[in-house]
Amino acid sequence: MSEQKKIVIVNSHGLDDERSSVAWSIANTAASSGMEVTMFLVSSGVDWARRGAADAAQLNPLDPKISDMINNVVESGGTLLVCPPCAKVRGYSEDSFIEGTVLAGAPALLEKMTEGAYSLSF
Amino acid sequence: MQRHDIQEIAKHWDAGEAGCGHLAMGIARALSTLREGELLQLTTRDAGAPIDVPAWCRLSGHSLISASHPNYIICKQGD
Repeated sequence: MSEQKKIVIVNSHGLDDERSSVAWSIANTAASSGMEVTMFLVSSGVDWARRGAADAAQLNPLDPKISDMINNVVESGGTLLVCPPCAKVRGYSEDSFIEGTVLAGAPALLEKMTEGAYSLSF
Repeated sequence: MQRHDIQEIAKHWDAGEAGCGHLAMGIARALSTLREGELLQLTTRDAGAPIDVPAWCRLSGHSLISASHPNYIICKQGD
């Protein structure tokens, strides 16, 4: 079997922006296609990893539930990187986030890219 | 005894709560005044540091001598 393809998706949009749904939809598709997915959540995007925050969010009624897409990414072995300063400035701590979340910033993202990950930004 | 145990720390930088790119830039700045082979001791309260500091060292080519959050020792490598 060929080496697992990697993708990093940077999402800077929160629970009030439909572009987030597109980012998660692509992440979900990548995870379902056997890719190693790293979601890098920055700015308002960190809210997606906050425990319970995504449960009621539905930004595009034609997309799957965003919480289902997040769960699928995590259960497929994907990683949610949360930018530490973006989390801290919102008053969030490590305990604020769902399973699969890792607090890490630009160096961790860049290292994934040097490993050959495709990248997308929202 | 390994060399770093007896080698003096050339510089100490307390990064405070700086994280992500701010932390990476600060480490680079702190190392810029050192000569190759000298040691920087970094202290940081950034929760992302246990992943980001080793990742940055691998990216930049500097050697991470020890990592015991919140303290890290980095050996400057050549330009």
